[in-house]
Amino acid sequence: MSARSEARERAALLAPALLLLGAAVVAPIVRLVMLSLERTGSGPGLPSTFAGLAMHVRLWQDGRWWDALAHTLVFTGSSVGLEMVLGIAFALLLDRPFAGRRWARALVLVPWALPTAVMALAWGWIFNDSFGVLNDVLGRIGLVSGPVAWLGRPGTAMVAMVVADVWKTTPFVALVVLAGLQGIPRSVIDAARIDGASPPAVLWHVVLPLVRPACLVALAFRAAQAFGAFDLPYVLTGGGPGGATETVSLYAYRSFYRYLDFGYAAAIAVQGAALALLLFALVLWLSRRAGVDA
Amino acid sequence: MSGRADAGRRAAGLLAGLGTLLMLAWSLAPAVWQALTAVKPDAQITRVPTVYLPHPVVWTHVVDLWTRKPFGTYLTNSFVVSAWATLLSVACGALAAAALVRMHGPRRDALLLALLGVSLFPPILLLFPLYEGVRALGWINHAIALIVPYAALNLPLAVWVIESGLRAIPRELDDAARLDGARALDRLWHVQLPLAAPSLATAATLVFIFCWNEFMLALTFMTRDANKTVTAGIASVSGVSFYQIPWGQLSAAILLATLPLVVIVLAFEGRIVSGLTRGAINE
Amino acid sequence: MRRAWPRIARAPVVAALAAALALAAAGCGGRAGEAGPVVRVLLPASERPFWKPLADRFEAAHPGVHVELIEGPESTDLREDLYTASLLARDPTFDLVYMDVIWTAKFAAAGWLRPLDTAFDTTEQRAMLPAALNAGRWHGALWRIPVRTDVGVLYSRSDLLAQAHLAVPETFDQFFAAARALQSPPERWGFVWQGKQYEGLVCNYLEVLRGCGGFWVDPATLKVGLDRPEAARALAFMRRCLGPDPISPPGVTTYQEEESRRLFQDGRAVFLRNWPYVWALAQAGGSPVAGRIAVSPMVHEPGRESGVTLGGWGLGVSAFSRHPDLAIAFAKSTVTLEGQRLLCEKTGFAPARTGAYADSTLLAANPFLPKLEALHAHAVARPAIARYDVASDILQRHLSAALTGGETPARALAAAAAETREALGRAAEAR
Repeated sequence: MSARSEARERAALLAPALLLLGAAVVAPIVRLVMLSLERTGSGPGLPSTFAGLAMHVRLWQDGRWWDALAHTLVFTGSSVGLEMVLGIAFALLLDRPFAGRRWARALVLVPWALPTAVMALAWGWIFNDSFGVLNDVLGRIGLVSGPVAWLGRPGTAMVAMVVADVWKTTPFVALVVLAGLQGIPRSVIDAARIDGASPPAVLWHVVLPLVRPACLVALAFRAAQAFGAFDLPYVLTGGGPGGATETVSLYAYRSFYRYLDFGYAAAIAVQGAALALLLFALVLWLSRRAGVDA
Repeated sequence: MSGRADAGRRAAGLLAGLGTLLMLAWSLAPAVWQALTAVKPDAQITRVPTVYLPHPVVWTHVVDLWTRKPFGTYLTNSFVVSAWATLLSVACGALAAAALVRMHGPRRDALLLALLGVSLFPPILLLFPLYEGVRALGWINHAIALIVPYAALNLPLAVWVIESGLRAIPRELDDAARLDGARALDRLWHVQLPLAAPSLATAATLVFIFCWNEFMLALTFMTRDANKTVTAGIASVSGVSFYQIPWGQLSAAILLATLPLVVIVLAFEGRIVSGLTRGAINE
Repeated sequence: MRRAWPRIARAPVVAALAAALALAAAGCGGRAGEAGPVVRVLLPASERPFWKPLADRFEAAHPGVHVELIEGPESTDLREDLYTASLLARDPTFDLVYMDVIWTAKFAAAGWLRPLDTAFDTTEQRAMLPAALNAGRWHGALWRIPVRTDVGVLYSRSDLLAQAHLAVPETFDQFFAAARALQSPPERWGFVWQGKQYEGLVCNYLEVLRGCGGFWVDPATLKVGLDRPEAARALAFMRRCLGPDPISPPGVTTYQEEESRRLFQDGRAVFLRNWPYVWALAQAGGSPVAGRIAVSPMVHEPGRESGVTLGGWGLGVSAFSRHPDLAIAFAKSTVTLEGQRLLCEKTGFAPARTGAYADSTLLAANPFLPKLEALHAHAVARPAIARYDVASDILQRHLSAALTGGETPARALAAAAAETREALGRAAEAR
């Protein structure tokens, strides 16, 4: 087949996806980028005037924006880091043959299957200082002396949010990595065993490198999802206490729907996404240089 | 020497077994707590010190929920929306992945990164332009208002997952099929996809679950009870007093919303994988 | 070289499922034919059953008209966002807006509401509780007809006070003395309130602020009073509740209405600041504190007034409604004496119509009403400014930070004042 017909074939294959994305995601993003170049007034009809980069400049001088960015990065970093470790461990455990493995795989998915917004309410109750079951359990074990107001202090509120997120999304990582594990041909592992390698060595030198692409997929998308997380902070902490858990998504949402400051909200979203993309591209480039191939 | 290796293997087995139990306990504890709450009498839910096991077990929360709200309708709507969105997303994603797997170097990287970049935009903010578009098209309260955005929002993930699965297939198989004269779509359907079955199943599962649990778009685009999905329906579960969070009913709602999902995933994931791989082997 | 389809596609189960999907999708979202005009309003799901009789009554009086009560989430913020999304898109879905007191300025300024002065004339206006009615005014015009009203209330355990021969406290010092004397933490705390970072925190603060003689934002002059000594003293009161020598549990900074109510109702608090809905629940059979509750306005500094934050809900008419006359007619039907009776009798809501407070049916159902009417004399309205949400969020964040140690109180109030002035200034500029 000629190169040109190959290219045409590829374009045809890509077309449906690009069309769908273009209409339902890219067009709205473009609309938001345009919106970020406007200043929204507060009169009837909320008129907007062209303001160039004024909203973006205003953002750089906004302490609340930098705080939100910091909170988001801390949340994303801790959450994703813990999930990757746990998720890979779970995937390895679920790849081994044992009785009831199919059930175990389905059960491990349960946290991911529970709706975030409603579970966040439940977590709020679990972390409650007077009525929460967590304090009860910790008190009985003897780990804490009195009721801990988990969501009442800035540090512990972030910890609570990370715990709730890790619990929910570890199955996502586990599932993606498991698919990668299942794609490794049996022959490769058998060959390594026959060569005399011990199980830990097989794991470290054969399995993990082969599963790196799947890990990268999980990492990339979990990072993207954690960065844009909205349901959890909105319901669990409302961004509190004292704005200590306000994320970029939450700040953007509030600016949009509560303050009706559309131009500014759009600027928050655009800059947040741009920074995240830069960060991820940086991580990707560094890992390339270190020899990891995706 | 083999004795030591055996002992080592047994120890590893025990450790793995313990790890598996811990993993299951960690995953299920809060869910079990919700299940217990769903069948506890109201008074015991908020009692201090904490009441762990309900006595007696009451089914009023579940029954109330089912009768007071059209839960059957919500579940059907959720299923229709999620299934169609999953089909659309995985289909477009598989096609795109097939194209990407044949590309290499910077162009492929750029495209993959662009797909990821699109996902980095906080989806919650796409709510406004999407709402404008959906309204302009007259799609408010129609399933398609959710199906298209859900499919699009999950497309990057579907592409990445399926592409990584296709990439693991040895190139020789595809080359052989091409030499035989098979067209791209045929190659995809008969050779590549069956071999990438686990990735397809994974992508489908993840997209389906996302669609089932999505909250803000569902709440905003569906105002009529007859069209609401399960998450939007839960949002209007109410309690006795006006600030009260009805824990019993809410927990029952979580259960009713999630059990069908787990059943569906269990049933279909296995089927997709085995069906596709069997198809490949038979040829 | 045709190959057979993979086995899975041949499975009859899958085929049947595909057919079912196709059918369901085709049927989904189909609109039932509607005969006459429909008036729609979005309500919290818990209130819908109580509005049904009003809707039925209106439909009976206007044959052919249908009133559709759409169930929404309980959370006020979520419903505000749903209304906002719809009105932003100039959507005629909702004819009536079921509005909180604090939505008036925002919705009116954005041009989403119709002015109601001609439709709801002066005589009708005079029949409503003045504080409640004024919450629907902005820039001189009326945008919202009040349907029910709410005021913040201080609940006390009268039995414990009587045992210790203490009167219901009126000043800050009396309050702290009583709380300290009667509490025995952690089984029983002195004072529970709403300290989480949300609108309720602002409501709590404003009452104490009035008790110190201060103010937040003057809606007429846009002056900000947060960096004045009164505001600092009000914040000091709240911080004093948390320590040293606390009278409130440390978790009070995570409490909303329900958590605080539960503690008080379980007998684990001496004082509670909350809304009137607690009364009926606390007096119900089986409640440990039934018959042992006294009610008063929030405490204040000596020589100052008590403050009670004004709440409540009303109906505004959407500027994009296709049936504004019918919408207004329905709104008016809810504030006739009959309408108020239908709504308030079973629910214990406080009516917005002055005459309803003398109605024998309502008084029999809710003996708490005269007290509520009297409390309205101390009502503190939140400022009716278009960017209210901005100002409220600023105050919430800084108060919460000052209460949880994120910021020092002086810094918090100074920052809050500066940010509020900047936000108000920006709003004035952009006009």
